[in-house]
This record gives sequence, structure tokens and C-alpha cells, in this order.
Amino acid sequence: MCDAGVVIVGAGQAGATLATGLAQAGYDGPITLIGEEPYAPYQRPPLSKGFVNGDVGVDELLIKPEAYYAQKHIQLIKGRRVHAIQAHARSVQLDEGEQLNYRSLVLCTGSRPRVLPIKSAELNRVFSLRNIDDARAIAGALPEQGRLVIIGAGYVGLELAASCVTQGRHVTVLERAGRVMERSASPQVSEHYRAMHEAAGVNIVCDVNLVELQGGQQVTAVCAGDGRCWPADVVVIGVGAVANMELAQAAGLQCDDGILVDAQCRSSDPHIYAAGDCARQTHALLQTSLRLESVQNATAQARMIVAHIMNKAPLRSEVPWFWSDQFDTRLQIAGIVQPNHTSILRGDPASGSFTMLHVQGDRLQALEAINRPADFTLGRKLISEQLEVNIQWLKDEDIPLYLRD
Amino acid sequence: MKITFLAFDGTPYTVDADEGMSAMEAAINEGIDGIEGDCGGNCNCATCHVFVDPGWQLQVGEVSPMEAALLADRSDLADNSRLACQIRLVPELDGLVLQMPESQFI
Ligand SMILES: Cc1cc2nc3c(=O)[nH]c(=O)nc-3n(C[C@H](O)[C@H](O)[C@H](O)COP(=O)(O)OP(=O)(O)OC[C@H]3O[C@@H](n4cnc5c(N)ncnc54)[C@H](O)[C@@H]3O)c2cc1C
Repeated sequence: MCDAGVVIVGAGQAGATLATGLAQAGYDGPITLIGEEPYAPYQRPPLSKGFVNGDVGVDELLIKPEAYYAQKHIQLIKGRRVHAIQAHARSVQLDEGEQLNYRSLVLCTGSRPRVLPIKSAELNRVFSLRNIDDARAIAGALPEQGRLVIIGAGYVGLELAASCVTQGRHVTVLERAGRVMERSASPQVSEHYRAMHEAAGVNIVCDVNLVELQGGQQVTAVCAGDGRCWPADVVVIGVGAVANMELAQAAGLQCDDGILVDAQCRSSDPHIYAAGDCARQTHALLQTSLRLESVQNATAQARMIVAHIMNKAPLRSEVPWFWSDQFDTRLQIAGIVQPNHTSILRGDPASGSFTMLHVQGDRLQALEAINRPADFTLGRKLISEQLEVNIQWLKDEDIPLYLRD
Repeated sequence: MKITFLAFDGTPYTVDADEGMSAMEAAINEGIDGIEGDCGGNCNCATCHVFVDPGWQLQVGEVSPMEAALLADRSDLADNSRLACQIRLVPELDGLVLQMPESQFI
């Protein structure tokens, strides 16, 4: 029987890295990459940054030029959705009923914006931001001097706020928690970002309990339980993302806020893997179960699967890392910031460049570097190698975080 | 203008590039294997590491602190290491030769 090959569901960051990685590694069976979006695989990070401002075009978002896939004998199927997996028969079902057999199946279905349970969320000009069409719709709906209200002060919301306020829009960010980026940043970093946004003219409101959107057909305001309302021409809801794991669940794979996978990204079915935003894995280095939403996680997991399918030595797991660009400031986070860590400040926040180091006992667990690339890369090494650290030295800016021998 | 990328086994791939692009973009646009560019050319991920042909080291310009920090983390760091996303293609770089490290081939 001929090799049914690798079928990849979801043509995003993880799916593209996997398909091109397999082709480069010389996989000799068919590789099929299926994505529901009408575009060749593209990068999402610029959507909330340069793309929404029109500084970056669609071609510049593409992970590889579209012709690359055919050159590498990867069958890229765009604009089609996989509806079901028949795990026992090792096949997937596309819309229009077409069946496709696989030897290995990889789920790279990503995540989707969480729906905010709020009254009148279905009004016109209320958006979320996940894909190219969302970014275009937001840019198209927002008048020159228009008022944009963003619900949720996470990375996507704050990046969008920075991009739009720089373009002369009036931007308000409403957040339920007591501080911005509460889920993944330390209080010191949250404070720095709040101040930065306010200095640029963004109106940041925390501790707000939103109850409804108002408007006729189009949204006109966002209102809180205490009666406060913020007028809006456009509303963008950015309150986190949920894993696209329904296909996996329906096929009987083990899921728990993500498709559960082992150290090689294998799911509970031996012929099915998962990678990227949709997967939950116990991190080999950090020894905790994580579902991460980052480019680094998507590409690293995809490469783990390439190694496994090609019978190569398993890849070492990396310290998870993430970046966010807002205004001219780059935040780089390595590891997972947790409230039980002891936090150490390195540098002066007033200078616009500092690092928060998060220590447990005498080991560095996580760091947030603001305009400090050297601290980021050297600190990441410290976390990865779990070397003993000296707190006094960590504070001393004149001593590099990691000394080469 | 033309840029040549050498695979780690020495195979040359010569591509047409436009002035103003980065060397990483020139490689990605032509689908050259061995330049990943995971972060999209933002000087964030160090997956577009190249070794500049010794004859071109002066012309490619200075390494910024951001780039130096990322390069320092590469186990295959050499004197002529650069991140291709940080090499801006100016007319003087027509004919530039860049070697790609083995680690970027899966
Ligand atoms: C606005 C924005 C900004 C971001 N900025 C950053 C950043 O600065 N740094 C960073 O590290 N990360 C950032 N991220 C996160 C990063 O983009 C994601 O973590 C990454 O894209 C995850 O890759 P993935 O392949 O898992 O999912 P995706 O890239 O989302 O790809 C999944 C694809 O699968 C498709 N799909 C799902 N189900 C099916 C099906 N049944 N059939 C067919 N196709 C299907 C989806 O439509 C989608 O195209 C950002 C994300 C967003 C939205």
C-alpha cells in the first residue's frame, strides 16, 4: 500500500513550520497542509503592530512565498476546513465530504478569540483580532480621528492600542483586572506599560466591570455596571484565546484546555500529534503543564514533531519565550512569571530599560527584559541551565547575567 | 542586485534581491532553505544566522547591541556571524555571499 503520508490540519505558524521542516528533512511521503483561511500560511504578530497601520502588506506576512509549497511537493489546500477525524480508519473528512487518509496526522488548529459574554456583543463594528480579515476590518471601520475602545489589556489589546494611538486615533482600553497584562507580566512591568500608554494618550481604565455594548445597528458605546460609558466608533474585544480542540475531542483524544500531548507532541492516539496554540504539554524543563500561545512554542513543537517523524534524536525543550512590541519598546519574556517568585529589579525603569528577574530559592525561573536584549538572551541561558545565582550580582547592572568561561 | 547563499555543504543559491530589503527577506522570498526567520525579521529569534564571506565583512556594517545579544547565544558563533534580518541590502552589497550554518537545516 502506498504511504498515506502526513496530513496537517491548520496552516498557521506551527503547520507551516512542520510541513516545510518535513520537506527539508527529506520526508519522502506525501505532505498535505490544510487550512481554512484563504491565505498561504502567515505570521500573526504583525497584525496588531505594523499590519493594522498599513505599514506591512500581506506578502510580507507570509511565512514562505506561496510557490514554495509546490516546489517542495507540499500539497497546500487553502480555504478548506477539516470537519472530522476518523481515528480508527486513519482518515480526515474535509468539507464537501472528501476523505483523506494519513499515516500521521498533526493538529495545528491554533486558538480563537474568547467570546465575551456581554449584552449586544453582536452589534456592527465590534471585532476581535486573530487573522488578516479581522485586522483589515478594524482598519477599514476606524475613521481617521475615530474612537477605538479595546476591551482587555493583554498583549494583543495593548499592541493594537499603541498602533492606533500613534496613528492619531482616540484609544481607550478597558480592563477587568486591577492592572494591564495581569495574566503574564509582573506588577512592576504592568505599571511601566500603563504609564507608557498613558503618556502616549491612551486612556487606560482598570478594575472595570463591563455589562453592555450600546448602539442601534452599530456600536456607539461600551458601558460598565456602575453607569460609566465610553463612546466608541469601533470596539475590539481582546480577552484571551481558547484552544481549537473540538476536532480532537470529537475523535476521542484526551483534552483539558488543550489537546494533551507528551514530550514528543504525541496525543493520546499514537498516530496523531498536536502543536502550537491548541496543544497542552508538560514542559520538560519547567515541569509544569502549559498551553502556550507564542511563535516560539509553535515552531519549537513543530520541530519536535519533525524530529520524531524522521526518527531523529528528540529535540531538547527550550525555555519558553515571547516578545511584544509596543511603541518603541520591546518586551521579551523568558520562562513563566509566577506570583510565588521573588522579584528582583535590575536597572532603572525611569530610563526606559530594565529587567525584572524572578527567582525561586537560588535559581532564576523567569525574566522580563524591557529594551534589554542582552539580559534576555543571557538570562534565558541561566534559566535553561538552572545555575545557582547570587541575588546581589543579579541586581548589579555592571555584571553580565551570564559569564562565559 | 544578487545575493548568494551557501548551504552548509557549500551548494550556492544565488537570488535576485531589491535594494532596501534585508538579506533574510531576500532568502525567504526565494524559499532558500537554511534561513528560518521565525520571528519575521524582528531581531528576536536568531534563526537567520549567517556567516558573512570574509571578503564582505566590512561592507555589511556594524552589529547592533540587540543583534549581538542574540548572536552571543548561538553555539556556532564566529567572528563573521550576523543575523540576516539585520543586514540591509544597499547597492554596495550587490554580489554579497553569506554562508548558512548547519544548525538551521532541520
Ligand atoms: C494579533 C496577534 C499578535 C500576536 N503577537 C505575537 C507576538 O508578538 N509574539 C509571539 O510570540 N506571538 C504572538 N502571537 C501569537 C502567535 O501568533 C500564535 O501563538 C501562533 O500563531 C500560533 O500558531 P499555531 O500554528 O498554533 O496557530 P495559528 O497560527 O493560529 O494557525 C492555526 C490555523 O488553523 C486553522 N484551522 C483551525 N481549525 C481548522 C480546521 N478544522 N480545518 C482547517 N483549518 C483549521 C486556523 O484558521 C488557523 O489559520 C500573536 C497572535 C495574534 C493573534
